[in-house]
Amino acid sequence: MTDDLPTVAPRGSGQLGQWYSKYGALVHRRCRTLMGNEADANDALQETFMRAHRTPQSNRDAVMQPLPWLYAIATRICFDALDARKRRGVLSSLKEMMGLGVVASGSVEDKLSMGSALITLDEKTREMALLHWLDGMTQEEVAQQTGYSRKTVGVKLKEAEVALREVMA
Amino acid sequence: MNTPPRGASCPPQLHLEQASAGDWLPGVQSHVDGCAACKTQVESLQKMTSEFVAARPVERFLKQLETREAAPEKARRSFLPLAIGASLAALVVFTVVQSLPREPRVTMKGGLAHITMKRGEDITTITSKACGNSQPGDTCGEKLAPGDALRFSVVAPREGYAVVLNRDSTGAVTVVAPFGASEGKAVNAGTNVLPDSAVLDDVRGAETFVTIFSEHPIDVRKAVESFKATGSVSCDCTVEISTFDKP
Ligand SMILES: [Zn+2]
Repeated sequence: MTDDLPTVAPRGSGQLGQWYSKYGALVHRRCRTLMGNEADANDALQETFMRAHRTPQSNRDAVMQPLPWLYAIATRICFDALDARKRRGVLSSLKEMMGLGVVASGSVEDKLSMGSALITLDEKTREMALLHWLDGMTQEEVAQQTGYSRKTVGVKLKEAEVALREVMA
Repeated sequence: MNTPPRGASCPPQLHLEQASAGDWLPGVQSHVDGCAACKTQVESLQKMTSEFVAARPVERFLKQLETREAAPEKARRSFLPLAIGASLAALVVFTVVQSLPREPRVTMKGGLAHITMKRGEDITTITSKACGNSQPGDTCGEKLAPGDALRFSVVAPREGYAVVLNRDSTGAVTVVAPFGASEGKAVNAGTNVLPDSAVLDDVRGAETFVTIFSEHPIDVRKAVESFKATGSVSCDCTVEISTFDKP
């Protein structure tokens, strides 16, 4: 590899490197769960830290809990990428589409990712699902965090569970 | 799902993950010290992190970031910022259209389709009543460009089904919203934002969008075939065709 080449660290990378050492594995794990494959998880991990790096220093200094903050960035990146993955399917399959309404795109592994199930849900339900199944919050805690009633959270999570089961089954 | 078993007094998984990184929220440390399950969880996360960093050292990662920052945007296509759903939904204009005629035939109608375009940070509505169902060769005023992201709404006169097809200058037809739909999306009377957005590729020339509304499920495959063959759609439905130039 290129490990022995001298490194010119990006500006502000002291904190970036520190955050990577502390949180990189956790962020990667979350991206892996959402994206369903290693390559996309690595890409999302890098992009997450890029965006963290681009955040003005004063804003970064104001982050009290870096891990949830990084998770939020990563989640957004993953869903954008999943969205793009879906559309790349559209664009790359124009020719195969002749006369066909449906195109199969992505690998089986991609289809099995949690993100590919959650991408079909509205943003609020998605957030609740992540809080519940990834952050491990109870329905009450999800309700508190999102400002929705416990009942609504229950209904939405049920919806999410159906979507997850369909994909994971 | 795979939520780890959690005792009544155990903190959420997120707090254990934070703890494993050395960020102890109030009360977590004392709980973990007295809870074997949480302790095991934190330790295994710590092990995961140290193995991860050993396998992918921080210097190498920072170098990757540097390369990434220098790389042209196109090489990072998969991360085009396209979170446009919710924000566009708020921009949709509510338009009332007349009722459908009773006889089973295709009706061409302006005001059925509502297309918004996101280019960079700008979001623009690119359809208007004047541009819907223009004569062949006519185009709507807005010029499209590769990379533009389009989002589609249908202003439905009543409950029914809707779908949007796209044809580019090579003649390729794609079901863009909802992507790959086989019978259209069930919609309510009024404005409905359809799922999925389309990002335009590099093929230049005319981009035509056909918005179809029907009271009944739409045979999308048939609609695609007739659109390809005739440039229009034959179904018991209402159709709006909007053509844009992509120079
Ligand atoms: Zn515990």
